[in-house]
Amino acid sequence: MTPGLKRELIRTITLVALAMIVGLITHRWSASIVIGLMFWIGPHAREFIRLHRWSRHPLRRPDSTVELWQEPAVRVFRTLRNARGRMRRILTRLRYVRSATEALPDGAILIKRSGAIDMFNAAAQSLLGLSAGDIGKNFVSLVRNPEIAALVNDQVAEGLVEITATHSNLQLEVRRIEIDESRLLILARDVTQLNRLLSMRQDFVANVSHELRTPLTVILGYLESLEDESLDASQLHDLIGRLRPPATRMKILVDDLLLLTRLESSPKPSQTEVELVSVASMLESIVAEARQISNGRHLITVDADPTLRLRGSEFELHSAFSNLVGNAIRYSPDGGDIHVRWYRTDDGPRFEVEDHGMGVPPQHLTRITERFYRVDLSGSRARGGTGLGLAIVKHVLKRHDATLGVVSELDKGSLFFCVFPDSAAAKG
Amino acid sequence: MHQLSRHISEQYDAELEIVRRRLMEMGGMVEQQLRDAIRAMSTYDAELAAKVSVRDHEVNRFEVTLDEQCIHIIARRQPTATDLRLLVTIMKSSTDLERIGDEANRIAKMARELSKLDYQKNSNVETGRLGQLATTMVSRALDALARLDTKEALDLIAADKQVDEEYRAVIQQLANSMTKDPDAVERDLHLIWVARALERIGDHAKNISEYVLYLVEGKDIRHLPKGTFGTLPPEDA
Repeated sequence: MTPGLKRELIRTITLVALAMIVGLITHRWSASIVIGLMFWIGPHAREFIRLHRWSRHPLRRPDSTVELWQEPAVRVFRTLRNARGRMRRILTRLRYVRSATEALPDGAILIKRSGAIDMFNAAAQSLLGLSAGDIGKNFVSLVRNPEIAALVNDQVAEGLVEITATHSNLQLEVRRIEIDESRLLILARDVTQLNRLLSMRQDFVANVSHELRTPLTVILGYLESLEDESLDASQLHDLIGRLRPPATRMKILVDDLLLLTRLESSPKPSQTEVELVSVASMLESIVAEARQISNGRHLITVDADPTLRLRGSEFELHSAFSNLVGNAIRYSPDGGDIHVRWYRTDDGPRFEVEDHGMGVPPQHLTRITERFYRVDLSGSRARGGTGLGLAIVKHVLKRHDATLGVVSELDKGSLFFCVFPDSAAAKG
Repeated sequence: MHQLSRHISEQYDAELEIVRRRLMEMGGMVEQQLRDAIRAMSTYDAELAAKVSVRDHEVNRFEVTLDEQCIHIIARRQPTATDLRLLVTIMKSSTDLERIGDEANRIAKMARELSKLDYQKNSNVETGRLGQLATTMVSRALDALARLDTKEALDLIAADKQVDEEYRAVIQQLANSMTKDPDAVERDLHLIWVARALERIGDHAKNISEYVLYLVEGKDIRHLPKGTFGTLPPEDA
């Protein structure tokens, strides 16, 4: 028995007893019964009205004075409050989960079996062109690629298709996942970049094979001629001499490939490789070599600040700078001046090679650092390039936190420059 | 955006939903045809072009069965008001979609012809932008139809002007090219066909947008002089 009920029982018994005593004393039984009843009903009536008022705002704590009434009201109040607390916690959890799905880079769309859209996240909007009001609309009517219709109807093996999205023009891998009897989950992932990398890799393998096959064919051809027993000593000597250039070419190519692989395999030169490089003296030897190759066709000048030293890998910097100078010679077939400069700027130390040769056509500028990318296929291979020089330069610079820039005009010349971070500079 | 009302007969609802979806399915097919035809043109892919031509038969069949289904509903249910407009819209749209499919097929054929020429292939005249405009118009028109979006439909009707302008520019460039380089006339003639087809595709997309307005507002705005229909944007917006 609750305390309120107990009290009420006591009160009732007391009132009945009082009424009986008054009745016995006064012999006015009806009056005393009526008065007793009024005393009994009074507080209850008042509480009843209070309860009524409370029921309008059941989430406020009830304040009846008669415990009998208060007890059930408090029970209801507490139940309601707990329920509200639970609902709030569930909503918070829901919001939390939703923010996680919103952050997903993949598009997620929940659709009913009828095909109607139930929910989707922000990525789904941008990848597939859905908009906020599309809830309830048929998914396949909005994303109309025929492969998607087949996917939703479960007519596709492995529940996976690849499409080009109409609205975003991206290549998407779209997957179908069964949730339960009433719903399907559609996941869309952007694989444009991945596809690009895969095709770049295929191209690279094809290019390398081709570049190596050409000199190999030449060597094999000469080897066949060497089998001719009627050759005399000087003819033999001649043929053997001819074997050297294609073999050298293959070696240079393989060396460049290995260097490139090494450069790509770690983000920065290791501690043991980093030293204070005297760029000015490095450039002196690079230019001396260049003058030999040029053989008088070009006027090559060098203007390098001997006090400006650079923190980095001597080997890699040598490769990068000599590649750039080599290109300048290679792409100025008709001679012209080549200027090599090394000096301080506000942005940091700067290396430049300026030539007055063929220049680079503007549409190729963004692609020249790609491996094996050639502007003019037949010409540059004849010039002895491997097609890997600028890729090597790009990677060396990246490993030294430097940037590569090009200014070029067709038939006028080019300026290739590298800007290193200020922090890499040192006085020497 | 609007909603079409529901009927007491769920069966009737289902029938209408089926033809709506089939129209969108046809739309998706035609969009794919157009994408493939344009790609076949830019990559000189004769095999892809052949696929487009084969698929065109499917598109034509689709139009026929869709129209049949609509007629059946009209005969059985005797629809009125919105439902009738919906069925009329579906039938008219399917015709425009089928025509777009035909134009895409024409582009594919030109792609095959172009792939047969050799050195003359590369023209200075770029049809890429016109192709992009036409493709976008078709997608947007179908989106507007799926969402019953009258604002988008109005925007599209105005956007058709851009397609016409680009078309005129391309034709002009081709005309110049033909006089400057008479050896490449064959190639330029093919390109003219392609430009024409793309411009027509833009017009068909515009038609579909007009049907959206008809369906939602109940007003037939075709062939009206500009400015008569209150909500059309002014001529030189």
